[in-house]
Amino acid sequence: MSPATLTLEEAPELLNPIWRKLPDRRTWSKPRRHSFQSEVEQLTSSVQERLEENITETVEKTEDLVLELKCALIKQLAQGIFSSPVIEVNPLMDDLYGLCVEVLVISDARKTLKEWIQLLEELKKERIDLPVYPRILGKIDCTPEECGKLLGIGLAKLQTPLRLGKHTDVAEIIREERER
Amino acid sequence: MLRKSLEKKEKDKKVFLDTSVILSYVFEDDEHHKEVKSFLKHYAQIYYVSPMAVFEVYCVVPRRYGGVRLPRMLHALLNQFKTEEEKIACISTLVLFYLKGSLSKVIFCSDEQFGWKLKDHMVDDSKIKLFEPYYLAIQSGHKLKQKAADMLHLAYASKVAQGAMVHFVTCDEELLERAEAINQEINVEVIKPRL
Repeated sequence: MSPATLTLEEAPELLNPIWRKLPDRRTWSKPRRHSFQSEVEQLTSSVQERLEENITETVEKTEDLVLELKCALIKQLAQGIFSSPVIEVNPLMDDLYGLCVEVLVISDARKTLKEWIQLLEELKKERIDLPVYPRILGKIDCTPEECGKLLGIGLAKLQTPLRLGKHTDVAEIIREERER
Repeated sequence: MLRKSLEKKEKDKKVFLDTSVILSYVFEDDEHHKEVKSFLKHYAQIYYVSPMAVFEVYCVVPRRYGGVRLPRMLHALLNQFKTEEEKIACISTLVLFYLKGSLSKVIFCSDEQFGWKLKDHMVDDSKIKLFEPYYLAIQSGHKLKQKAADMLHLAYASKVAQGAMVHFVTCDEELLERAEAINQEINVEVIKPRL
């Protein structure tokens, strides 16, 4: 019998055997929908997980790349500012101060610290917000007061307060000192 | 009219920093650091530091802040100084330069710049000559019953202000509790840094 000759009256009769083989609609419709939902949920969560992994990986890679680029720019600027050779520019993690960049310079302290302050001004203009510190490979040729002054100016430019590595309460300290 | 006069008064106010506020601002691990930092960034354009506070920084830092840690590479530089005294002299200076460099404007008052006169004070049958803040501290000390160093800090603030409105910023609860009496006696408003 071709579909063209099938009449409306004949159709239910023709389909009946098929209906009969199928389980009751009331019983199968719900569980089937439920299993489909759980599959979707599983799939969604696995796609989400993979996506999150990928995003994290991409973000980390991008951050590394940005850091590398910033270090390259810092090196370029440092070479233009320091009158002595700049050996290396490396990012590193300080346990108290966090991520920072060290600039290795073969020079004595006074000149290097003065040039470091100039470098910080240039970095501010270039909107490089990384804390950059010099590692001085020469000798210390300034007084403690001179050194403190230059370090204070530099750290103030970076807006980096000092750390003790332990909690303190200055109000208590000053009170104790004044009561002695 | 009133508005203008209030604005002028606000503009002319002189804000003095107590040693507690200076050290809390410079050391991040301090209990009050966050509120002090936020407060000092917005409260005034000019801050005053009395010679008494400078003197106290140089006394307290060596005694209490010897364990300061600079970022690794700068600490290596600090370690090149041979003695502990040299290291601590470096840190004490650093504290004041950090304060000056990171705030909009800090004026370190000098005993000389205000042209203070020496005032006579009777001790037994003889007179001794004192700088004005010491003289004021003696005059008001018996009324305020403050500890010697506290009294001297307040007297400095009062004398430096020369009639302008003075705010003395401190983290010290003992001074804050006596704020009203201090204001009445020497016209210095003691305030707490707040977020």
